[in-house]
Amino acid sequence: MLELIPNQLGFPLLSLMIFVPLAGAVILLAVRDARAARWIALLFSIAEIGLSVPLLANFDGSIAHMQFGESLPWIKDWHINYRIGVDGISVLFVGLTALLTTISIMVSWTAIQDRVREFMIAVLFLEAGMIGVFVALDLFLFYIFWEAMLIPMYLLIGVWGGPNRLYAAIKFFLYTLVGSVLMLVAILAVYFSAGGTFDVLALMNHPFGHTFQMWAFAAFFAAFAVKVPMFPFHTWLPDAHVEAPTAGSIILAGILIKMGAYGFLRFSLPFFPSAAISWTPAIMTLSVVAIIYGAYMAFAQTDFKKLIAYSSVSHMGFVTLGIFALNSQGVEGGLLQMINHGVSTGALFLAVGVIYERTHTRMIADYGGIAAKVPVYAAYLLIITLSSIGLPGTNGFVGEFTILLGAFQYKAVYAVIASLGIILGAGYMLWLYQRVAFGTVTNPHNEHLQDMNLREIAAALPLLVLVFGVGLYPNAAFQVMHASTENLIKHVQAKAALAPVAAQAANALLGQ
Amino acid sequence: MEIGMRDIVFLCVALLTTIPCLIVVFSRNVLYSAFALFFTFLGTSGLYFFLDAEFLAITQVVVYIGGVSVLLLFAILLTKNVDEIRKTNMISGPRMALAGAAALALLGSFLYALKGARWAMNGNAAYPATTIKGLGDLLLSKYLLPFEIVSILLLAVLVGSLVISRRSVQ
Amino acid sequence: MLTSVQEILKQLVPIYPEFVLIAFALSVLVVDMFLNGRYTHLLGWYSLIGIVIAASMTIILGGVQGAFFSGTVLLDPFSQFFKLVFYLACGLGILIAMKYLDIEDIHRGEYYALMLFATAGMMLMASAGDLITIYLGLELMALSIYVLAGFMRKDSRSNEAGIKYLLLGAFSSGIMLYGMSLLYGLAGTTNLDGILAFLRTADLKNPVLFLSMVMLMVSFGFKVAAVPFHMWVPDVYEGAPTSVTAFMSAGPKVAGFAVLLRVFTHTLDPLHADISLLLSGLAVLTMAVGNVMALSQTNIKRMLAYSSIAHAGYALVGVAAGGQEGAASVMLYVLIYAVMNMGAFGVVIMLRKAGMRGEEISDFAGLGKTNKTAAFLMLIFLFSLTGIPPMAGFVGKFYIFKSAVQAGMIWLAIVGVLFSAISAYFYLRVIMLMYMYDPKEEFGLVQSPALALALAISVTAVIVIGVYPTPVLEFARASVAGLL
Repeated sequence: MLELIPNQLGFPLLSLMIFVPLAGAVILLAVRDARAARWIALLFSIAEIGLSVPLLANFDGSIAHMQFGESLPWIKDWHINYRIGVDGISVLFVGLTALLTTISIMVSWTAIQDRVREFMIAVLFLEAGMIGVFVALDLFLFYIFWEAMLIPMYLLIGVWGGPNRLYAAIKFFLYTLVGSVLMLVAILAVYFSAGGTFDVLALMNHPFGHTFQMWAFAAFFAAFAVKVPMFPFHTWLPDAHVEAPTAGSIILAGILIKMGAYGFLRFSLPFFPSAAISWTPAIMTLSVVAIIYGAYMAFAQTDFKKLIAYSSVSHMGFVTLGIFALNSQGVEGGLLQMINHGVSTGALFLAVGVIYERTHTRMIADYGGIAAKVPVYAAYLLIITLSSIGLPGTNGFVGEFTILLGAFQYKAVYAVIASLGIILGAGYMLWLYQRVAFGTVTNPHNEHLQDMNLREIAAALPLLVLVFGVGLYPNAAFQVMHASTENLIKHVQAKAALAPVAAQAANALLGQ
Repeated sequence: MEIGMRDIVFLCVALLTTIPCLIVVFSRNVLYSAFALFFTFLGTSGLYFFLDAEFLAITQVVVYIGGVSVLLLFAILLTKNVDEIRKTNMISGPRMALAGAAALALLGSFLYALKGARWAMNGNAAYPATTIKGLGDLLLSKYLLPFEIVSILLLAVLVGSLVISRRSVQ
Repeated sequence: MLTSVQEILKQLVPIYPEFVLIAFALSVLVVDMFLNGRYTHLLGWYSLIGIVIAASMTIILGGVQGAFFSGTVLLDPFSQFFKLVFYLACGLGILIAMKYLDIEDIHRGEYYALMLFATAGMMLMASAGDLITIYLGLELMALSIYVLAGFMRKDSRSNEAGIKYLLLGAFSSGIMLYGMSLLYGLAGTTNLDGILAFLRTADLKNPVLFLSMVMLMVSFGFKVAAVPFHMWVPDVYEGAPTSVTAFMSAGPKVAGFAVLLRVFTHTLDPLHADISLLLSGLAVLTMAVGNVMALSQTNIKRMLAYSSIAHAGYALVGVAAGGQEGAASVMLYVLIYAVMNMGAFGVVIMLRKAGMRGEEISDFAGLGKTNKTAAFLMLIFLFSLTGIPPMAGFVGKFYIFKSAVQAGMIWLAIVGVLFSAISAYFYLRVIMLMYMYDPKEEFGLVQSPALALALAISVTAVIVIGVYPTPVLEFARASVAGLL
């Protein structure tokens, strides 16, 4: 049984991580100057990275328990507490969030000229929300952060996005909202059926009946599957990605869509294991469909960003495939691949942002032969492309390989089809690179293209380090998550075995 | 069931109430409607007599027939182009059918409900107060507060009518 | 002589707050006669003093409980909670009205007097222990508001609003009286506790009982703007002066819910099963029509009118859920709704200035550029109305749906949250216009200290309740205890 180990650091680390960006946002409210707003936002986001250093340094990967725990009574009448903590599943996301937010602010330095202050407020508010989602251990608290995030993301897309931003923003908002509100009802049902608690750790151990699990799982699935996004709930993603400003795309691809998969790991599986097992064939099938469909659609795209968006659908298919294989390789691979995808897709969107700022076009056909003009950029893009394909030595390889191992153990056919997706992935990415970088310069506008400047390189560097770091020494990541994923698998199996016994009791509860 | 004198008189009073009601609604001339309303009020007053509520019946005559309907007539006659009003009182076919059906359904459900009713005040129970003295006692004791609220209410209405009718904002 | 005066005053203690408001209303009328027209706004501040005094009296009287004046008036935490909401609604209504009345050239003392009369009426409704008090309080409130709705005498839409509201209001009063008289005929008493005592032993299959219950539901449904008794709402909300619309959407609606709760969860509690079924049907209809019709509106007041219908639907879910939790959730909800809706109207009213109506949704285009503060406030109010955390609107909806799930009405909660998600579309449209479009023309907004104060109060309440609802929630839950 998981416990919440109280924070031993002498200062509320996780709370600081939530409230430092918020404080930054509040301070920005009083700032008028755009330059000052950029620096303040950068300062606060770097402070957040600074905070994640003691978090990662002091995290004990050998135990599965929730660490750095904090618990304060919040709304007593409803038994709601402000409970936060991290385990091996969430800790890496907290670090990734801090990193990607800083990178987003750096790439927006010159790209965002309009309403800079408001932009930075939205980004910092979003960061607080994302950290909150990953550390919340109370369902109510989680839901607050989960929904609150919609506001800044909606504004980021809608205000600073591309020409079709209004449509994309509202589509993003409504899709995710509909999924979320269904989850809200399920959260309430869970609350009452467990005797009135929102405590995630307590709910993990509550034996819900099988029928109840089936319904509640479906409702949670509505929220998470939209967020992932799983086929066929993915249609908002290409629009949102294409229209969002670079910073928005990086955060969206890097963090936001991971939350769906994180939700499966944190809530759906531990709460409703027997339902998860019943739903597995369907979800595995959807995952495989997403892998192939995403890759197929990526081939057909002429828009740089849209191609990456569809590749995300395909890659997230791998993640859910791994998670619902429900064995340790699958889950660990899925988790690692979420981090990897955050890094490499974040890096890809950064690459698009860099070049878009210079040419103001996202059409692949408008490029070609730029390798000769911007060698640093071309090299950077190549590394990221290879990482996205999953070349051995890069992070992508480790994740996908582990997932395929897990899927193979579940059912060989899924692994076989999924590996087809890897081949397709290599196809569209290399073709993309070829069209953009090689050949002769076809577009006269690209004759005098500027290469990446120091700021952009500085923003890209940490991502490159992670690409090779995780690729060459994946154990660093596995060590952090291993205890938690092992525990999760055991928990799921043990609790699923119990379910039939508890089913009657819970059914009686439901029937009232 | 034996039909006595009382029943016949009741029937007459009831018809006196309801038939003018129909004229009020269906007449194309608003003046006729106003006159018909006069008889409806009278009939209602008669119904109050049947309920042994003499004071209420007399008040009804004084206030509604003496006051309200006369005021109403004045208002109509002071209105410009009363003839035009005929045009506003148009009743369209489908809407009328719909309204009629709804009214009949409502009437049916009322009849059904009231038929099976068992009332608390059945038979010859002693009514709390029907005389002026009794009513006065009640109004100044048990219902003192509602009585006072009514006076505030009337005040508010007075202020309201002032607002509506005052010539213009200074 | 002196002792008898003291004796009378002592007996009046339970209705001191109402007394104070009426006294202030009367003195407003008198002072108005001698006051230069330029200083009429002082009467607004003067009325606010009256509200503050009445509010402090209500708080002081918090310890006093029981039935007074032969049971026609009840003092209990339930009524005190609602009275405080009314003070808030009336206070905010006066604050946002002051400047606006100047612009519309209808700034007169009677406005404030009628506001105070209406508030006194609402307070009597919340305190009523007798059907007669309910009726009279309701009429006092309604008659004052009919006039307020038609306060712009030169504006045909305002006239239409006043007349329409009056005619339909009178009709619904008639239905209510019919229902009440049937109930009286059955129970032999108009006292609410007496009726409850009668129902506890009575044959509940009696069709007349059902009939009278339905009639009461129709008339209360009219007051809270439940579908299908909502036809008047869009026209009246659109035509009435915006400050009155704001007050109407908060005050009378909340008062309607006070009576609805008192009568349906207390007095008619033995009929709970029937009531719950009917009310959940009403709730679904109300949420559906309100939200769907709001989608296609182009006038901000009409949109907020349909939105207010939709919100009545959410609150009805709580009434249908019933029980302590259901009632408490409705109380919390109407409080939050009153604050956030008044706030939204406060921003709408800023757009009205000489030569510009500022009632079209498209008038909001580019507000995020021309007036950042106003746009930001509107953003907060609209997200709160949508029910997105960390705004108070979320807490309110959460509690409503929580009580529905607790009462075993999961289907109703699902319907509710789905319509709530639909509502995001039309609220977001305004946000989109404010932030994502360029302004059509440069324009300054109307500002005044009173309006700023009203907006500051609302936005603070929306955020504080949203982030830390515990005190308000405990207050609502404690207040419901006396009801059941």
